[in-house]
Amino acid sequence: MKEIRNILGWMGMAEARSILEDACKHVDEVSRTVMALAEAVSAFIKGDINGKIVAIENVRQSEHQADTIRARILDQLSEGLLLPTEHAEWIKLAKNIDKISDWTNSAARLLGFIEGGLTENVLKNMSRSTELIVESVKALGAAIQAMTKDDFTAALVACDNIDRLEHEADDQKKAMIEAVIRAKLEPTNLLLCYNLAEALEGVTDKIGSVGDLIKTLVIKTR
Amino acid sequence: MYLFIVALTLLSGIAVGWSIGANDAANSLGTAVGSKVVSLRQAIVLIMLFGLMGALLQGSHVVATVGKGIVPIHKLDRNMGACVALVACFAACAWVALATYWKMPISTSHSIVGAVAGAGLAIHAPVNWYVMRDIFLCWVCTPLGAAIIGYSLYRILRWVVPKVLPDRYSQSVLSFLILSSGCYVAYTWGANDVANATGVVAGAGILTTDTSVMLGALAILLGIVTWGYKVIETIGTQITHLLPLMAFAVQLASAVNVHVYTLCGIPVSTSHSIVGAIFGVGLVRGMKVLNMRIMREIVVCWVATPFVSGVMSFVVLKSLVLFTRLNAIGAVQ
Repeated sequence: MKEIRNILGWMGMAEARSILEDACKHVDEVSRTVMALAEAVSAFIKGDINGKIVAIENVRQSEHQADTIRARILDQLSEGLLLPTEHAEWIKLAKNIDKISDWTNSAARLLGFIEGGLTENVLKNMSRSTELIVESVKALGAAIQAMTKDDFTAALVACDNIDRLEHEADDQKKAMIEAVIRAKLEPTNLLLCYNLAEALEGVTDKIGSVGDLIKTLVIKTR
Repeated sequence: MYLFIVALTLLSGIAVGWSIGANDAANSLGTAVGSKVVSLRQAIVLIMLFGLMGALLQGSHVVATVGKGIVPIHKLDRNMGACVALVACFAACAWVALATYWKMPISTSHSIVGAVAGAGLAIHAPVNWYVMRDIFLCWVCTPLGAAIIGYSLYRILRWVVPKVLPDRYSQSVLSFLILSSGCYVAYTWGANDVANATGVVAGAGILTTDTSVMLGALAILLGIVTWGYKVIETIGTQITHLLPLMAFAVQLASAVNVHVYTLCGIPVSTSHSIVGAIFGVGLVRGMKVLNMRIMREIVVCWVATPFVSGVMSFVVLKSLVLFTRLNAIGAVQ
């Protein structure tokens, strides 16, 4: 479609560009959510309870902001007589980006219930899982930024990186669950840590879905 | 040498015509394809048929303005006339190609009018500023007029149609209305835009008006069959999301608007007209139809186009005059 000079086609592409800019802001907000979760995990490992509470509250607020951006994008995509090209993919993209912050918020909520009593190995695995999320969300930011600059090769490279991190996160979830089981935790912590391992992997999984959608959009629009 | 210039002029004209056919055919029946009133193949046949009819039956009005009204190319000596036609066609074509590459929404009508005036100024030929003023005024009025007609028409239709049209017939009647108004858009598009391709060719006396119209129409048809079908499909299925009654109002408003200017012999942008009509119809439903940022970009491109193509043709023709033996002074007979 990029060879088009037709005014309606051009307006469709301009709408898509406008949505992409909003998607960038959405990813920025989601990144802030993830960074706040990483701060919460770090504070928890250091035993800084207040720091953990503040960071979890930041996750919640940031997730709320991300929801607002998602609503705005969906409004833009549903009203009007001229819609962007690949309309369905843009809707999926907005919804999937938002799921990242939803899952991050779930993970933060679970972390909030854990008060301590975890083994060194569980904490090490929790930290590694969070690092993978941070790396993934950075790769996602790089992918979407590359898209805005029409640098499709860089976008695809970043998406491949997201893919690799997603596989690593799968293995990491297994390692964390193993550590949780071997730690012989009391039932409440066992349940919370198990669900936290699922939630942390869920975040990278959602980032992976967004990466796949970006790949589709890149292939269709380049 | 003259034959070489003529061949290049015709090629540039054909390129402009091809670009019009490739890009703008979708404005007529794209919506009908999207709403599955007609298949893509049927739409192409109808656009070609009605576009050709428009060009052949009423294309000469605008051809006269582009070819003789802005700069009296027919009064220049034969070589100079051919050079003006070549440079105007070339500049219009080059600017359209560059704008397409840079993804700018420009109008071929604006491009060719600016290019003809620029070429005229380069050789000190008398540019008819009254005609230019009228054209500029019509350019401003084109989207506004279409918006007003679209708004009024849709308001009336929205009130009348549910009252007079029984539900069981509404689908087939609306399909017929969309199809017929789409064909009308194609007709007025052919009548107005053919001059952009070969108006100057007729003005320079390279071909007669009828032959130049035929050549322009064929170039437009070539654009439709080689590239236009992709654009029609994309516009219809992916971009325009109009309810059947809205689509009818948009198409009819745009076609009536362009037809009025065609009868007056004014080259206007059919794209301006369709965007204006969409805006007007959307306004009835209180929809945020156009993003202001996008609108600003469109307006900038629309305003810049005649100046850029004018400067391009001015510089090219001035250079030709300076570096060849073409005699500009006294070229007007």
